[in-house]
Amino acid sequence: MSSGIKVWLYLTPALFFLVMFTYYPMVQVLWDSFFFKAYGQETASFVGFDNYARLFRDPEFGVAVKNNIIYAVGTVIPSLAVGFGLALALMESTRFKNFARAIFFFPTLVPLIAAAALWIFVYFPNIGLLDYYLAKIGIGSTNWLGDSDIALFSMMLLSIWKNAGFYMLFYIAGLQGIGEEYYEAAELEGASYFQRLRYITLPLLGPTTAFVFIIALIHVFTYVDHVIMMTKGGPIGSTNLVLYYIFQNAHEFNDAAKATTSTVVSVIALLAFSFFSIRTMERGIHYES
Amino acid sequence: MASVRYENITKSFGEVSVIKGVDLEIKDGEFVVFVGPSGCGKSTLLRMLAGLEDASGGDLYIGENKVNDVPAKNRNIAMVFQNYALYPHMTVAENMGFGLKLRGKTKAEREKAVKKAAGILGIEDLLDRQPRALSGGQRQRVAMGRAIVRNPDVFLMDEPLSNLDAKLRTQMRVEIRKLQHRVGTTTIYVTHDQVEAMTLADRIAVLDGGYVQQFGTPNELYHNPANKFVAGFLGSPAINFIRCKLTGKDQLQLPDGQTISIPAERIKTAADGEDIEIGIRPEYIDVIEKLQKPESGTVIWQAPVSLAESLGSETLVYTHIGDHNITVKVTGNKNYSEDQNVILSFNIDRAHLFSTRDGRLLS
Repeated sequence: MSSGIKVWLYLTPALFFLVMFTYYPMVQVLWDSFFFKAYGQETASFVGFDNYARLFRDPEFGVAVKNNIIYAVGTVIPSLAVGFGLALALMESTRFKNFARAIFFFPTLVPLIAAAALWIFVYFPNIGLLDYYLAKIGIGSTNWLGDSDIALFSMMLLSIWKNAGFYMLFYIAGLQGIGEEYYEAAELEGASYFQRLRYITLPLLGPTTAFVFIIALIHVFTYVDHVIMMTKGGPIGSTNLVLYYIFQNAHEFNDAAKATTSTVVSVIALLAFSFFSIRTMERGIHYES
Repeated sequence: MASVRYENITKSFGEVSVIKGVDLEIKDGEFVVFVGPSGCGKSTLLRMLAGLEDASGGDLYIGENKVNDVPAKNRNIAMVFQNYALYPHMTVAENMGFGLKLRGKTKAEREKAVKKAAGILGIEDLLDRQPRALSGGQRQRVAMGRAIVRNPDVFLMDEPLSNLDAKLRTQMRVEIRKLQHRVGTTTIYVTHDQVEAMTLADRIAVLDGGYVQQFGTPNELYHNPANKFVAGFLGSPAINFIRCKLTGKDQLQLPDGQTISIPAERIKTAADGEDIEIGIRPEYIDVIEKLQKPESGTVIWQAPVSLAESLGSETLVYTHIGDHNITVKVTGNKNYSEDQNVILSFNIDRAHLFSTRDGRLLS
């Protein structure tokens, strides 16, 4: 058998499923975004960019985008920072630290839907875990999920709790890849612990940070289970994220055209953003030769 | 610049005792080489001075200051690492200026110091490059530049040439020596290569088994080794050891049965009938034309050649007497065929006498 045929044979199973369940639907969604079919109508009619115009005029879409940006900034940066901090603390392998790593990694293994169910009890006003302990130090009850000024931040906290342990693993691997001699050299040059952190650790972790950043970014745009479980986008749209907006249009408002259109917009935005952030960060990154 | 003193230094890693008691006094401006086989503790000794390892016992001094409890960053020491440890994300200039930056020097001051050091090492045109764009020899120079730019009290070098090819190693060896002469900073250099030790050092400390076996100039160590280990470690090709028996008061019986008289004052510390090893360097054995009656103090042997290597200016002849291999270094390009017999001659005055029991030099 020629090697060309063999290569294709190996690729076929994976390609089949990729085409069927990823690329074909993507193209179909893109195609559909140019058509409109009113409820009850038999055939869809071509409308050009009308759906896009309709989408960008919808104030709810604007709210969802704004929420998602706040949610992204407030989730990605803290969870990377927490992951990095945990990695610094738990880098060496001792029995205690291995145990602690497992503890902090555990939330990653919990399905988001289950985590959301759990956190409903944490956030329950007055009798929830959080209020119960806050009351002990004299802080009164808070409506964590019901207050439109707070609900989005409560979601961020859940997300950080859920993901920081995952990013910790990448940072531990990254830290272990930095040669001890760099630290020794820097120490002899007179660098304090924080100077070594700033001038050696952080720059040499550049590739890890770039990678984890993209993973985290994709996380905040592609998971919506907790919104469905905890707030349904409310109160008054304060926790509505783009993915939930798509879900609502597709399944609650039966506006398939708007759902497909906003899907196209968000995928393009995410791809473009990942691309540019990798490019930007790579400029400041120094992979080992 | 400063002197360095190790006082009864010990070091253990858990149960394993690596340094068992080292006393060394290194003078200001001296170039000292720690040499010894792998695992002898030479790197540990260096890293303790740097502050990268704590001493388990004893006192360490830099100048008049006891530094046992001074953190590495305050010891004002610069170190060149085996794999250079250049920061991959900084340019050559940034690498060299890093220590000055940490000490709060201004950009102008740093640039001036870096330029000066780069000038000494001939790397001015590399300052804007990153380490990955440098060859091994260039990285080596940058690592040295990073060390000298700060004007430290002591330079430490941990096998700095072992990652270079043979030719570059010889060249860098000369440059290191010249550089140290020029800047005059006390330097401690660790290597397992005895040629590096012999050529670089003002004084060599030979380490083995957690102790300093001998500390002295290369010439002292080569010509007056304190024990069998030092004699065997220095010199290439290695010294020949021949096991003999002491018979009577001053007669030494060689493995082939012939006896030779030894001045009594050379074997005062040996017991009667004790086994003695004589060490004779390959260049002190001559190949002579004719078998002759030996003069007093001269050993003459007939030995078959097992191999001869011509190095151009000299020839190494490998022979054996019984089960003792004997290497002879003859000047000039001579031809010997295998299994040809040669006549060897050496004077016992040229040989060192060691106790077989503990390897110490007899006197």
